[in-house]
Amino acid sequence: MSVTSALHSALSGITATSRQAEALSSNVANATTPGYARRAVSLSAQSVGGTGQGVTVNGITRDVDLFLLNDRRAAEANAADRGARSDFLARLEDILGDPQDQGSLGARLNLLDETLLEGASHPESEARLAAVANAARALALGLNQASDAIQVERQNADRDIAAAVEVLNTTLRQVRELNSQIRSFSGAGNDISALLDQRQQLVDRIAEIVPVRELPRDHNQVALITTGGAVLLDGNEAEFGFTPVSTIVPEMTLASGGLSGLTINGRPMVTAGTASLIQGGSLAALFAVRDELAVDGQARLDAMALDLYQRFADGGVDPTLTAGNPGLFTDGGGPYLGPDEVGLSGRLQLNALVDPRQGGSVLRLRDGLESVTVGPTGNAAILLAMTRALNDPRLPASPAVTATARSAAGLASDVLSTVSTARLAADAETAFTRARHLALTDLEAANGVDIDAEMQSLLVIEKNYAANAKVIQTVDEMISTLLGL
Amino acid sequence: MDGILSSATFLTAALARQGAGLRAELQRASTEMTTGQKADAGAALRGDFYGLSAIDHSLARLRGYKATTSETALLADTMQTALGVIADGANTIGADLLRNTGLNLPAQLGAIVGDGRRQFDTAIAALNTRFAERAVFGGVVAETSPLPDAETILAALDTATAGAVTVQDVVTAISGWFDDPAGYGALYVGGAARSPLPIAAGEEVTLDATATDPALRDTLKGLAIVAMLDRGILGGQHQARGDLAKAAGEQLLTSGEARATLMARIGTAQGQIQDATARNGAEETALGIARADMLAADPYETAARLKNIEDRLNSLYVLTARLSGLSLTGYLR
Repeated sequence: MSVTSALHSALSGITATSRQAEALSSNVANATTPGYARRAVSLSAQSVGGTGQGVTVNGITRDVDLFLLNDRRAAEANAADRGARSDFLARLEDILGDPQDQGSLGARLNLLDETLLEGASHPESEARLAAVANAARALALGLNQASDAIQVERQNADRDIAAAVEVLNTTLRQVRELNSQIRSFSGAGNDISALLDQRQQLVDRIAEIVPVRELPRDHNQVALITTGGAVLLDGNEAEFGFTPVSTIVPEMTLASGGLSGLTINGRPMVTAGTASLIQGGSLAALFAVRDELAVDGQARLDAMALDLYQRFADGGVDPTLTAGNPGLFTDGGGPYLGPDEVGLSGRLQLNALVDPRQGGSVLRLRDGLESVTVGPTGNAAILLAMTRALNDPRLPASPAVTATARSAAGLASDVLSTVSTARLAADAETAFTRARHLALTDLEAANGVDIDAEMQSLLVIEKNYAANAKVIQTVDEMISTLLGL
Repeated sequence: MDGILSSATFLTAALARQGAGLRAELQRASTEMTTGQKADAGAALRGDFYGLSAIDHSLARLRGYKATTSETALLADTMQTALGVIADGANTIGADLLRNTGLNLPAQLGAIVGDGRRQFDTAIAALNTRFAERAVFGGVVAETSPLPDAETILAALDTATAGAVTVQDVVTAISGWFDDPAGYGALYVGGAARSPLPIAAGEEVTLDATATDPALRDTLKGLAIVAMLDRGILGGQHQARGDLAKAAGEQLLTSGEARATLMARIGTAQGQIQDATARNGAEETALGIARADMLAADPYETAARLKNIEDRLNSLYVLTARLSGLSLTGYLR
């Protein structure tokens, strides 16, 4: 032990406290930076030949709880998944319409019923008959618009999938590049904390799209595996493939081959159900919207459209109708030939025979659709048969809705109630997953930078620095004393 | 928990989140307060729209019934008025003919049959009544009057009675002509009876009287005989003309019951329509109340909630201000 070594120890103390102050200032500056993990300086006593020789800085450590991080990411993915589903169901409910709104399908159906009764009350009035034609056209148009809106939803989902896959591929490539940078930097003994922060932010971005688990590998490397078990990155990154389409019609489904599925390294992946390796994330939710929820909504609309079509095309309503010909509503202008009802709600039209806009005459509503002459003006029989057709319980032909005999309005409210109930259930799940995500985010934040604690450390650092400086000053005086002898 | 509370990230995030949550609640409560309706109908009904839809559907149908009841009521009233005119005329003439003992005297007979001829014209005009561009007794053919004018009918009767020489011949010929589809039936250009119209849930009203109704035809037979007398049938045979007039009186008397029955039938329909109108009105009110109950937001509950949110928002702001002041940095200066 000598005066010189005391000087050396004090100098190493000054260096260590400087590093601490540096880390602390970075912590305070990044107090609200997302993805920033608190830095701490790791110190140990330096010893030479069994005696203390000051302090050495081992390096900067990042304060990260990997378990919590993984849990938070899984919860985030789950919340994104459930949120996307319940958002879609809420929009679907809006598409069908609150029965209080004049534009809702239920209200349009009621209006047709009302105008038919008014028409039967005064069949001589062409205005009343025109009101029936308008109400029927509005109902067909309402179904068309609802069908279109659902297809737009699917198209948006398809486009969002393409965007998500693009982000996924880019981000995975960036994580791989960061991995290799971190390997070379840490080999050279540099501070890699900023790179680690950056990588954590990138992985967070991936975790919103697919739920991902981060597994530590040697030399500060990470491997990324979805909670479903697909390897996204382990050394090399996986490459996802997806081809968006420009327009989606109801007939295009994943099963029909009209829509693209997801591939990983060129191999097709299951995107639905429990076999899916990407389940529980916004990507899975987008696939669910495109391939299940929207298709299901469309099927229910089509069931309504088919029921409406058949109610008026059935024998007994209009004696002038040739068997097999369409009634008040047509399938794109012609008869519905079946058995494929997909997209019928988009094609349903008011029969041109009674539509003045298509060159028809509203008088045929009273006289019979295919009547060639103008009948007695007071004849309400066919109009009355139409109101009965609309209100009599009828077994829906479509398998998309339960086989219970209902009126047309009953079926409409049934479809709306099914969607609304599903939306409320999804809302409850969303609230649960969101709460879990928030709780975990709070826990993570609690591990983050605490400015008060940093200030307390600052006081200690300040004191330590002053003490070390004092030691240097004293040693200096001691040496001066020696030299002045 | 001190550490959690003073952690900058946590504080910012948690306070912002709570603020956003409270503001969303405030928005919902104030919407419900101003509209008086639940902001989320699906949630208020727990996804079950069956009840609401059924009410909306019933209300739509009730609006339809409003048209059928008011218009059918007017139609029935018009029918009843026209029948009243016909019955009054027939009863007066019938009574005059039966009361009078001097029918074989041309002067007396002439006065009565002159009146009878006018009553026949009135009856035909009444059967041709049009209301709101609809021929009331024309059945489904509403655009044209069901019968030609009285003169055309009488001219047809002239032909039908051309070979009749006795009183009985004339009565049979006239009665036969009115019952003959090729006779009276051919001059009637109206259609079949109107279909029964729904006027309330599960209830229909039938207004099927046309100008071919047996009660009306029998009345016309009596009036036609009188009118034919006025045209000078069996000219010169005073006794026979007197007997024919008597037969006409009897015909008008016996058909009186059928006329009364027909008027009663329409009266019943009128009553039925009135009952249905009253019931529909009551049902509409009841359904409106039930519907409002389903979606109504209790104003007291909403106001209480609004006040509660306001208090919590105030507390949050106070807390935010206090917490941001609680910083070691501030004391270290």
